[in-house]
Parts: sequence; structure tokens; C-alpha cells
Amino acid sequence: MEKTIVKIDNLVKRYGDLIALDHFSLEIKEGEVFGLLGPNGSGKTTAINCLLSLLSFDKGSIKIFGREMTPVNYDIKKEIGVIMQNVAVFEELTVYENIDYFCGLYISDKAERKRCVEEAITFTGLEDFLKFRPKKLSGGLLRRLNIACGIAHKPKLIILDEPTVAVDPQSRNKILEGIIDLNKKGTTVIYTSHYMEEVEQICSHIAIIDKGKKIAEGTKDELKRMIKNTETINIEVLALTSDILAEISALPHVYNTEYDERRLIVYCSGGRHNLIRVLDLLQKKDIGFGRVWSELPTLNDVFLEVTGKALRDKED
Amino acid sequence: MQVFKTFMKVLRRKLLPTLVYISLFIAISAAMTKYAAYENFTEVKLNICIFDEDATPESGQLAEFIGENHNIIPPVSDRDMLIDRLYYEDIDFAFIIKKGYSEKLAAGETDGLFESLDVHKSYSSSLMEQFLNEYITAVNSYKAGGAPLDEAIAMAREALSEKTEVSIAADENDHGYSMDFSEYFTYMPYILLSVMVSTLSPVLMSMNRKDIRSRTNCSSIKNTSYTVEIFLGSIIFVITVWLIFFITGIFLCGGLYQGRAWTAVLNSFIFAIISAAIAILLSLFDISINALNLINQMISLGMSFFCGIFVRQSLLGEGVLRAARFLPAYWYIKANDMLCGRELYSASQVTVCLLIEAAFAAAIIMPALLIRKIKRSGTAEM
Amino acid sequence: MFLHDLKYNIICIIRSRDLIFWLILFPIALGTCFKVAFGSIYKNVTEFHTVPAAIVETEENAPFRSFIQTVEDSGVISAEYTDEEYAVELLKAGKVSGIIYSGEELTLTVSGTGIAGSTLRSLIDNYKMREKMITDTVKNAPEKTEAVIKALSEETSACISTPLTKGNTDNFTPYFYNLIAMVAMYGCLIGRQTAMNSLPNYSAIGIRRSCSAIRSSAEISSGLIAGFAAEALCMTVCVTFIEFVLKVDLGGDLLLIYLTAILGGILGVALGFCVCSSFRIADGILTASILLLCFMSGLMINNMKMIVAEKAPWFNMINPPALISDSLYCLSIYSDLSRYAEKTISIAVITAVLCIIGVVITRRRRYASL
Repeated sequence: MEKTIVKIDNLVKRYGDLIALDHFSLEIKEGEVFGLLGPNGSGKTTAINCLLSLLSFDKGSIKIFGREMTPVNYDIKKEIGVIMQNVAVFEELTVYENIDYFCGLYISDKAERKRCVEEAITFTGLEDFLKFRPKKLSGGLLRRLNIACGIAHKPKLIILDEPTVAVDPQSRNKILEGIIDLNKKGTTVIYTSHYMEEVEQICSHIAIIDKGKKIAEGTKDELKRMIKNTETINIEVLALTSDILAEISALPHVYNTEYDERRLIVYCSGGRHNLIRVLDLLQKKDIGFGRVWSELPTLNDVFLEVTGKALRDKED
Repeated sequence: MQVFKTFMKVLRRKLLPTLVYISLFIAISAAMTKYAAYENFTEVKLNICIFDEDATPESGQLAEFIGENHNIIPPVSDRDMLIDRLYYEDIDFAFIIKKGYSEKLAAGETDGLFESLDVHKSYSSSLMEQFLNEYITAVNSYKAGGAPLDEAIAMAREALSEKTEVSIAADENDHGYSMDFSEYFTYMPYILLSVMVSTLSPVLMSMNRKDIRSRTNCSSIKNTSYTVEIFLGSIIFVITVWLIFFITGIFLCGGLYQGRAWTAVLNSFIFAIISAAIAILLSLFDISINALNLINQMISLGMSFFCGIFVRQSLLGEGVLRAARFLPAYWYIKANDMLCGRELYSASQVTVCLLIEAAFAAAIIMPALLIRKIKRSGTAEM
Repeated sequence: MFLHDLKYNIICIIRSRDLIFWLILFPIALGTCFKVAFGSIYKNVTEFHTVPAAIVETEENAPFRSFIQTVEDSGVISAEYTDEEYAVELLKAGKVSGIIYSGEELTLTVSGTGIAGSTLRSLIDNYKMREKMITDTVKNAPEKTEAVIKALSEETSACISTPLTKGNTDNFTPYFYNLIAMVAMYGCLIGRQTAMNSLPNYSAIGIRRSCSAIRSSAEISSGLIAGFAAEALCMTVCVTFIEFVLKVDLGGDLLLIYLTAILGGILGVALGFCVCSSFRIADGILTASILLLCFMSGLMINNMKMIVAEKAPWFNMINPPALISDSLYCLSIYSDLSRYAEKTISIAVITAVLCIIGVVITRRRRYASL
């Protein structure tokens, strides 16, 4: 059986009256890329900060590598790499010095450190910028430096808190590939984000958190199975009357329809050959149609369904 | 008026330094104006500390006589304290009437009757030593003239009490602006500069930040009305600050300004404009708040030391003053000194000072406008 | 690990441009200001030198002339005989301190109140006194005239002067003491940076360092020691600049001056560290409060310290810049070093207390909120 790397048990964290984490539990196994998803202000960063023992919490326990995590448990800290959403590098130090500095807080041996720093540089592709000060770096490069500083000491567990905010697609891909690479080498990764595609792309296991509660957890497929929708059918069709629409809604497995004079959207839950049945009906009524496509649910659908569609603008 | 309103909102958020500076200034001037009161006598009165070791009627008479013209400070027993007070010229002269003074005086011995305790070899000590010598000479001479000791002392006192008529070239008539009160206006430029640069500049900087500027430029507001509204906001700020000083001044001086004090008020208003102009000019450079802070201190402290705000102009070296002419505060202080009678008053020269200050204001505003214009066209090309 | 952290902490402080500005360039600029402004004030103003006077003779007055000659010889005044118009010009231009009109009646015109005017007045008073005495004697007891004249013309030196101190008595030097104290206080900025970089509730770097494998005690102490070292360097630069470039005599033993300055700098760093780890303080507020404390110790107005000593003596005991400038002053003025030692010990004690408070605060390991 795989080893449990992180075990959060019934964590409760309050900010005054506000409950930031409400009996939050989590278990992360070795070798996973664990995605922590949630809207802004849902408690992702709070959970990470508690995990790192930066924040005090009201109830619950946190174990990393099977041991209780405390602020003075330096042996555990040694095995963790942290990349926070805010870039944490010294403006006064060059790229190389920054990586060397942070690496040096974990590794005392000079030769070993040098090797680690150089690997981190190659890994993040910062070779051409070693003598630059962070101010001179573009957003993407700065994020890469931020990551290099967090992973240079080859931790067994890497925690990334929204590392790709405001990064161009090239840099983002580079970062994501890097994370997959690290994972292949055996590193366990905790990844928070609200970019569904990213999470879908790299995470093997996902938990969705909202208002401090874990509301869903599982693999991608497990999550998708959790929601009602299994298929969304799109048909470009003009002049649909309301009784035809009613007939479509009455078809088996269809639980909702939308029509806006140009496009028909049919939401289905379970069943097979749903598309054919809809098209069959249209053919019978002699209604012509344009493009037709069918979509399987994405993580985005899962996310929106479980967290609700209302706009979130609270600060994270 | 959208720009104006926003300006005021931003201003409100950045008002803290202004409040700090103004309240401190007012508190300190309230304390200082009172303190300065005893420095200021038409006739120089020295603070003199007498250690009477002799403790005879004769030595008592001497002390009493000195007390007629000067302030007698009770003996300071702590030697360190005495040094401190002499060092900072809180006590101008300290001396011991040595034991055996009256006997020696009666015997006609003149030397070594007193011992002065010096930190500085200063005017005050020289004046007092001269006085002591003169007193002894007079007593001795009267004795030589045949008078008994007590009579000789009385006569010497009388002879030394006769004071020469002194006229003062600078007219000391009541012109409504005492030297005492002028202190308030003396320190004002430092505060005006600090307030303007620490508050107005950041506000203007955030209003003129490149991305905000670009966004404003894209909007339908006319460039001129934008400038006018910003200008209006700045002017209101400047005038408000100045009015606070104006009104506080009325309280400190204990009644509405009179006579020359009005000119001093005008002077301070012109300087408020100069300070605002400097703040506007600085806001046009692309610098961090930290750097601005630094420049603020450099300018305000530098000007204060060079132009006679913290240290009187009459105390500064020739070279310094010659260089200070290129700074507006020099003319401000010069006018202020003339107005309060510290320097020879001449209405025409005061006017010249005020005009030069106004010219400084214009000379600072001009390049500011120019830089603004250049920067604007720069953004337009972007 | 500690040394590694220390090394980079020092590099960071030295490379930080703001700190270099405030701690090295600003004091150099201000020191130069002081030097230029006050370079000769003490010699010109406080220290006695000959009083220049213009003498306008409306009538021939030989006795007065000879009297003036004697005083001139003794170096009290320097007289220039001239006509009235020119004399007024000289007075307006500040070339002379007063005009003595010598005629039937002796009168004096001065440009304002001042000690120089008083000196001239007392000279004339003395002359009048002698004149009166002689005429009186001639009138009342002509046989004693000779004795009186002899008594009058006798050299009296009734006063022996004892200098109270061997130190530098230039009372503008405290401006430089206060400048040194100011640089020490700007150590607060370094202390602030140390606090910011160590504490997870202040900065992202603080988070990263708190999550790292370095012990928090090592992290904080290396930050503080780096701050002390950098500040010590700045203090050394400042004192060296004042003593050797501006050539200001700070008085006292140079080694002790350096020591005091460095100790003061460490106090500044500790103060900044302690205050900034307890509260979030904006840069502007911090520098403004530093300047206010410096103002209270006399950075802007020299005798401020005396005013404070009079009105609130306790404040001078705890105001850090006042303590620092005071200990430098004591070092220069008192031959006995006990008061200097007293001041330095209180600096050291305050520093230690601040460090302990700061460390206790920062050693809190978990935060209620970030």
C-alpha cells in the first residue's frame, strides 16, 4: 500500500467569527499530484499555512510523513519545498544568489548545494539570467525563479500555492511540465489553483474546498461521476417551437434544455445514444440543423456544480 | 469635477504626514514662543551664576548690584550640570567670589578676587570680567579718593549705574511684529516644505501614475479640464494648510495680526506657493516614495540650515549666505528678519525679497509645466 | 547554515539602495551642510573676538581718544574713525557693531540688541565713570587726584579664569553628535528589514524562511547580527567622514567615539527590530518619528536638549538619540568618564531589553492570522 505523506484530520481554523476551515480532513499519498481546488476565499491558502505550521489552528491535527507537524520540527521542514502565490525572493540578490540562499537554508554541504542549485537552474530554464536581479525579470521568469528557490533542495513534498498566477502560456506550460517531471521522480506534490485546465492536466487526485469545507474529493473521473451531468449536446438549429422543445425535454435521460433561437443545449444524465435520440426526433419533425457536437463533463462543470455559479470576489 | 473629487479622496488617504507635521509644529511653536520670550530683551541681560564663598555684606552687595542688570541664577552645585548649562549657554557666566574678598578689597588688593568658571571664552565672559575689573577699580579709586569702604562701594555702584544712551539704528518702534512672534514664522518654511512634499507629491504621483494617466487620457475628459481640476485640488490643499498656520498664528500672537505682521503673513503665503511648486516639480519625476522621502529631508533640512531657518542668518558665514541666495528660503528669512527688526528694516528691500520669492515660485512652476508637457507627449506617442 | 544565512543577510543590506541612501549618503550630505553652515559660527559668534566700532567725532575729545587707544591695545575693540554717513553705511552692512558719537556727550548707536553692543556700551560707561570720578575728585579733593588717577589706571585682573573642561567647547559640535545619533537611529530601518524578512506575517520571504529547515533562533539571530554588522559599518563611515573628511574635532578618545557610535547604531537596529516586529509601521511614519526623536535631542535646534532637560528631564534619559549624542558630549567635555560610562551602560541595557522583547515576539511560532 502507498505511504500516506500528509494527513490532516478535522482541522478547524477561525478568524474571529469567520470559520476559515470547518472540520477539514485530507489524506495525501506518496507519489500523488494532489490538487486543492476552490474559489477565491475558500480556505486553500489557510489550509496550506496551517499545514506548514505558520498559522495556529483551533482544532484538529496535522501529520506529515507520519509525524506531528510543529513549527520546530525541522526534520520535516527539510523535506518540504514551498512555493507561495506571492513571489518570495530578495530584490537585492541575483537569480543565482537567491536560489543558493534558499537552498542553503536546507543544505549545509557546499558541494552538494552547488549541484542542487545548478540542477534547479537547468530545471527552470534560468541559465541565461543568473546575474539578473529579480526586478529585471519578466513575470514568467520571476515565477520560475520563485519555483527554483522552493525546489532546489530536492524536497520529498512540494507545496505549490497558485504558482501560475499572471504567467504567460509558455512559462505556464514549462512550469506544469516541470511539476509533472518532479512527480515522475517520486516527489509528492500539493497544488492549489483555480485554473481547472491546469489541475485537470496534472493532478491525479483532487479535493474541492469551499467555505472551509471539503465538498468533494477523488480522482478526476470519480469527481466527474459525482455530478448529474454526463453529456451536454449542442445543436445549431433555427426556429424551434416550444412544443418541439417540450418533446425533447421529455426524452429519456434528458434533465434540462436551453434554447436561445440559434442553439439548443440538451443536458443529459446517464443513458447511452442520447445524441442519436435527439437527432432522431429532429429528423422526424423535419427540422434542419447546422453543427452538432457533444461534450463530456469537464472539471469545470464539476467545480461550478459543486460550488455554485455565483461570482466570487472575496480575497483569497 | 470627477478628477477633483478623486484628487480629494486620494488626498484624504495620504493626509497622515501632514497632520503629524502640522500638529507637531503647532505644539512645538506654542512651547518655543514662550521659551523664546526670555531671550529677548532690548538690553542684553545675562544669566549669571554666583558662588559666594566670602559671604560677607560686601560680597552680597556685589551680587545684588549684578542682579540689578542681569539675571542671577541660583548656584548650581552639580559641576557637570554647571558645565552643561554653560556649554549650551543657558548660563552665560559663572564665577566664585573667593573667600577673603572683603578683606582684600578693604586692603586695596585687586588681583584674584574672583574665579570665573569657563567653558567658552565668550563675549559674555569677557563682558563680565571687564565689569568685575571695572567695579574693583572704581571701588579702589573711590577709596584712593579718601572714601571709606562702604561709601566707596556705594559710590562705585552709583558711578557704574550711569548708563550711556544707546540708540538703535533699526527702528524699534512698535511695528506689530515682535521678534518673539517672528520665531513662529521663522520655522514655518521647514514645515511648509515638509508638508507639501510629503503629502502633495505622493497624491500627484498617484494621480499621474503612468497607467492611470493613460486610462485618463483615453477617457472623454478634456486635458485642460483635467489639469485645471488637479490644479484646483492642489491649490485648495495649499491654502487650507496655510490657513491653519494663519489662524494658529493669531492664537499664538494673541490677537489679530497688526502692522508688519501682515507682511510676514504674505511672506508665508508666497512660501507656501513655492513649497507647493517644489512638490509639484518633484512629483513629475519617476521616483519611489522612499526616494521622495529622502529628497524631502535633503531639501527641507538643507534649506533650513543654509538659509537661516534653524540658525540665524547673522550667525552664518559669508560664503554660506552667498550660496543661499540661490535658495528661496534665504529671501523668506531675510524678509522675516527685517520685518521683526532683527535686521535693518527697509520697506523696499522687503518688497524685493517678496518679489524674488515670487520669481522662485514661477521659476519652479515653469520647468514643472514643461516636464509635464514633454511627458504627456511622450505618453501620446506610446 | 547560520553563517550562510548571515552572509546573505549582510549582502542584502549592503545592496539595498534605500538603506545606503539613508544611512550613508544622507548623513554625509547633512554633515556637509552642518560643516558649511557652522564651520565658523563658533569662532565668529560664541568665542570672543574684537568688537569693531566706528567712531564719529563731532568734537575733538583727546582723553576719549587715548582711552579708546588703551582698550584697542587690550584687544577688546577695534575702532575706525570716520564721518557719520560712512559710519551708518558700515553699521548697515554689519561691518561694525556700533557707532560711537564722541562729542560733548558720548552716545552709541547699534544695529540691534546684542552682546557686541553691550560690550561697547560698557566701555563707554567705564570711560564716563572714570571721567566723572576724576572731575569729582578734582572738585572735592584735588590733593587726591593723583592717587585716584593712579588707582584708575592700575591694571586690575580681579578675575582668574578656570576652564572647566579640556574638551571641545565648540557648542555647535553637538550638531555632529546628533548627526551620529541620527545615523544610529536610522539603524531602525535595518532592524525593520530584519523583522520583515524573518516574520511570516509581514512578507512572503518571511513565510519562505519560516518554512525552511533553519532554526528560528538561528534565523533571527543571524538577521540581527547582520543588521548590527551593517549598521556598525555605516556608523564607522559616518564618524570617519565627520572626523577625517570634514575635520570636525569630536573631542575625546577617537576609539571610544567609534565604540559609542557603533553601540548607538546597534541600539537603533534593536529598536527598529523590536518596534517593527510588534507593529506594522509604514516607512514614512518610521523616518518621521526618527526625525522627531532627533529633533528632541537637538538635531535641528541646538539648545533643544536644554529645553527638554528643563521641561521633561526624564525624556532625555530614554530618548535614544539624546542618549547617544549625550554620551559623545560627555566623552568630549568631562575628564571624568563616569558619566560617559553611565550613558553607555544605559544604551547597552536598553539595547539588550529591546533585543529580548523583539526575540520573544518573533519567536512566537504560529500566528493567528497572516
